[in-house]
Amino acid sequence: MRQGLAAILTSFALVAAATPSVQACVACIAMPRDSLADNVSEAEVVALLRPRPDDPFRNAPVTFLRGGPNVPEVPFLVSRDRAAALAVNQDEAVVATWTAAGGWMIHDLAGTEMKSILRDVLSRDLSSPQARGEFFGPLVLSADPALSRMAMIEISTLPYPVIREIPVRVPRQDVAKLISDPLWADWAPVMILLFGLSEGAGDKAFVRHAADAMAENSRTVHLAAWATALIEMDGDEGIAWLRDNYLGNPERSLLELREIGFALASHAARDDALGAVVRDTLAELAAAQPAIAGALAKVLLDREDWSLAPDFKLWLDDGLIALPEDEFVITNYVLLAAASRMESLP
Amino acid sequence: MQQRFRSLLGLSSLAMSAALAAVPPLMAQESGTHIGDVGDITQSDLARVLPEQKAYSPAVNRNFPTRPLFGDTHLHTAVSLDAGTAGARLTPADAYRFARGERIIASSGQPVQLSRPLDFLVVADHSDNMGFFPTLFSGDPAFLADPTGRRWYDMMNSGQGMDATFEIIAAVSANAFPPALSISPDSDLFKSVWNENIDAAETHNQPGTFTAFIGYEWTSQAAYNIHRNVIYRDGGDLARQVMPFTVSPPLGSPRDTDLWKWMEAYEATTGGDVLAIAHNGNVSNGLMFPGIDGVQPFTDLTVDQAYVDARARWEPLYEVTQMKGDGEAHPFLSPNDEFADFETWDKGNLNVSEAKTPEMLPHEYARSALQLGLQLEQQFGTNPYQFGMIGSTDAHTGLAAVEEDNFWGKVTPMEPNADRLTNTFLYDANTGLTVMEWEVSSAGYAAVWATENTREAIFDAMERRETYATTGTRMAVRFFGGYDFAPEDANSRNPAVIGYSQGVPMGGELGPDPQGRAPTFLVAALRDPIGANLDRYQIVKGWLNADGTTSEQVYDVAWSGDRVPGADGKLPPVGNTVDIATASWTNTIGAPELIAVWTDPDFDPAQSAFYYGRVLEIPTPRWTAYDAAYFGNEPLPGTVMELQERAYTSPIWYKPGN
Repeated sequence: MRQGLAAILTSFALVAAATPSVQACVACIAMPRDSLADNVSEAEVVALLRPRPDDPFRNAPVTFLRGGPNVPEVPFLVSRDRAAALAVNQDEAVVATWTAAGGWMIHDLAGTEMKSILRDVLSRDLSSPQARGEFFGPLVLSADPALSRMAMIEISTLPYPVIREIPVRVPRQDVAKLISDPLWADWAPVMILLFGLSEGAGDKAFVRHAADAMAENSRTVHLAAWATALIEMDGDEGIAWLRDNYLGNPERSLLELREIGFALASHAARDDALGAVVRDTLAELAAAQPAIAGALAKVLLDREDWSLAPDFKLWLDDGLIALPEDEFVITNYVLLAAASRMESLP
Repeated sequence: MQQRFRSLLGLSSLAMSAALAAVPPLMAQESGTHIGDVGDITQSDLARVLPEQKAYSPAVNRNFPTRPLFGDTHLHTAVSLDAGTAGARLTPADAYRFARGERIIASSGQPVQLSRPLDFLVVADHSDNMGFFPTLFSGDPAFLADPTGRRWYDMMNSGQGMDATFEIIAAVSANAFPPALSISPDSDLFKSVWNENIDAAETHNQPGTFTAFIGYEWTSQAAYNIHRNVIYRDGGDLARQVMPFTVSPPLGSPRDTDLWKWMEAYEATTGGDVLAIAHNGNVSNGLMFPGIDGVQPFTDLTVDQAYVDARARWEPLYEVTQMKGDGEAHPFLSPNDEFADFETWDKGNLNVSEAKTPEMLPHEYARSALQLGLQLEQQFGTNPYQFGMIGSTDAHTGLAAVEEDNFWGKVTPMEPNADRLTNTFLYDANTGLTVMEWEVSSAGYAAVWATENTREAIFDAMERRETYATTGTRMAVRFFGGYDFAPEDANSRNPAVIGYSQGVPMGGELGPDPQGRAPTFLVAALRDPIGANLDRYQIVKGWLNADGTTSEQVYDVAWSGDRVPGADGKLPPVGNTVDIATASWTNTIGAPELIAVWTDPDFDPAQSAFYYGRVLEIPTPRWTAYDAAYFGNEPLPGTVMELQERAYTSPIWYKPGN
């Protein structure tokens, strides 16, 4: 299971299944960890379904993209809305996957473009983050919502250095709409990160304005994503701004500082001059706020980013980490970093 | 629900001897009974003093409902955590004022008013964490003592309400809600919130004019919608004595059987009277109506005698139509019913995280549940699904507004705006299932044949199932069953007198006719005074076959114009005057009134059966058409732009064993 940066930057686990029973009315749409591409890649059978000619309420495979045709019957109802859509567009079909362990799952509707993308997913080598970034990045602006959402989930799993290379510029109005809608709260960080790659003066002003508003009102929702975008756009000046407004402000809450730590961590692997500044700032933050060190280590651990392992080892040795759970994750991080170094030896 | 025989059970005799009905009960006892210091009185004395003579005014002593009362039994306000989270700021008091016809300002800042007042309303806020938002807004000291509560309060009061909402959603969703801010039913805070809801109902309850019921929603297993609205016959003096039942342990439970135990305990403790109404079986993924050998929701227990008895006792009604789809019938189950596919939500469970299979459908829709009820009755002797029909809104806005041209959405972000034709309402990335906002149905209302507009009279009508559901229209619908209705009864200008005197109304039961005749039904419908003409009146019959299976049939029994059923038995469509571009239609087709007497042509006296009425209006613009015309925007491909509003009466059951 991958756990990417944007998913962590979200800072929320908006998982519908975890909602208390009172949530009769869904207030937000959870971003899952696995995308349609993941489901397709991991399935033993991938099929395109349409209503059965002899029973329009039941699905039947019309095309197998992988595996088949000797598979159990698809159990799902053809819902009325999908029946209507499929009746209008003969080229559309329902994507379905089957595994021996989990049985059938149905997914989004697939038109011509989606079918082509899924064929590519099954035939290409998309095992590296770079390959996934290149492949899925441009799809985030697709007019097909299913493709766009698949791309957003994929991007949410990528390391930030890979996200930085995605050649997609998100329109400001798209970001403005998304961040103002609680329904999509879980998805907004991906768009904020992509938006932060813009070099437009108006876009930069938008990010700075957002950062100012967050600092002024002590807001934490999507703070990490906005801070990441600020560093991306303003570099040293962005770091300086974060120092002035957060690291140097004793009134800031641990929650806010943790978010800033996540933003710094996302840039920590940079190999340019800014990277060194980021790492110094992050080390300074962690030393000043050991309580967030564990959370930071977890981020870096998930990303297999070992750049701060020496610093963390030092804090462990100096007894700066107070909480046992933080000590546990940081120790893990340091040990895995050492193992990684061993593996990379010739 | 207390087991009592109310006056209407004897309506037929009362209607035939109106003067006697006016006699105080004690005086109507056997002759010779000493009843005080007036001495003995005999029947002859009584007749001399109070002759059995019909009064000149036909309305004098009339003791049956003369007009349907329209209302909503399922409305949420800012007191519900999810409604408040989504931006609702209207209080129960606001909701009652709006329902009474007042113009108010909606949570989105827009003025809003109903075309005409409703007659009754139940504010049914979720009992779990009831009142979080009002408590936060009020700056309750207990909330402000918690750092998170203080921060959210400050954000709410400094123009950062949206961000606070984001944080609250996150905390709720991640089960990371600060314990100090949770409103447990054993807390003073919960009691205070509950009392405030009761106070709002008491203040706005005006017997004879407007009924404000006390109620709440018990919200078990949100993703599968095993929910119940609990409605009180009582006033605040009783309702305050016991806190509402919740779902979260340890004080609450997700099991419906535990809710029924709570209801029983409430009545035993207070002497009060409550009933429960389920809704949205269509998003329960097969859990709402377990059949023979079925499993009680979220247990390993099969349906047993205790379960069917309790369900029959506590749940006399079912909310068959509302914003999350219509639940009368599904085209898969009723392939010969060309009107079965109406505002259908059949993708999956409530949050579309689990796709639906055809095998779930019989346990989700009212018509199939009524059939399951016949089977269960054969096995257990009790029909747990002998329910009447109502519609309601389930709006989370505090606004019971479901007229197509005055639709205020399911949640506050869906209050009228240019984007709601294209916005997503629900989406699950694993299943790919999506519900768009345009799919939200502008429905429905509960219609109740009560003798007066009071809590007691409406509640009693609900208990005897003398109710029908509408999808938002306010047509008047009568449905009587008996053995003595004759075709000329359809010429009557007062079918109710004939209906009550010669039969039973909707919700009633028929036993076998001693003469072995087939049942007859007197049906009548009058269009909404400011609504559309009527297309047809249908009777839906379901019955239990000798082999234990069930069947169903839809009969057209009254229709507008001179249409003639085709060779397939189907009545031709009524026509269509809808102009989607201008969101308009004309009443140049259809009929303002339909009335008929119908005899079941396929009656088998050995078969248990139910009959209910379905009345269709002519096609009219759906709310999506009004929105497109008002906002001037383009709907998404596939958006449904017109509909045939309808009403579903409570059934009349034929019981061979009676």
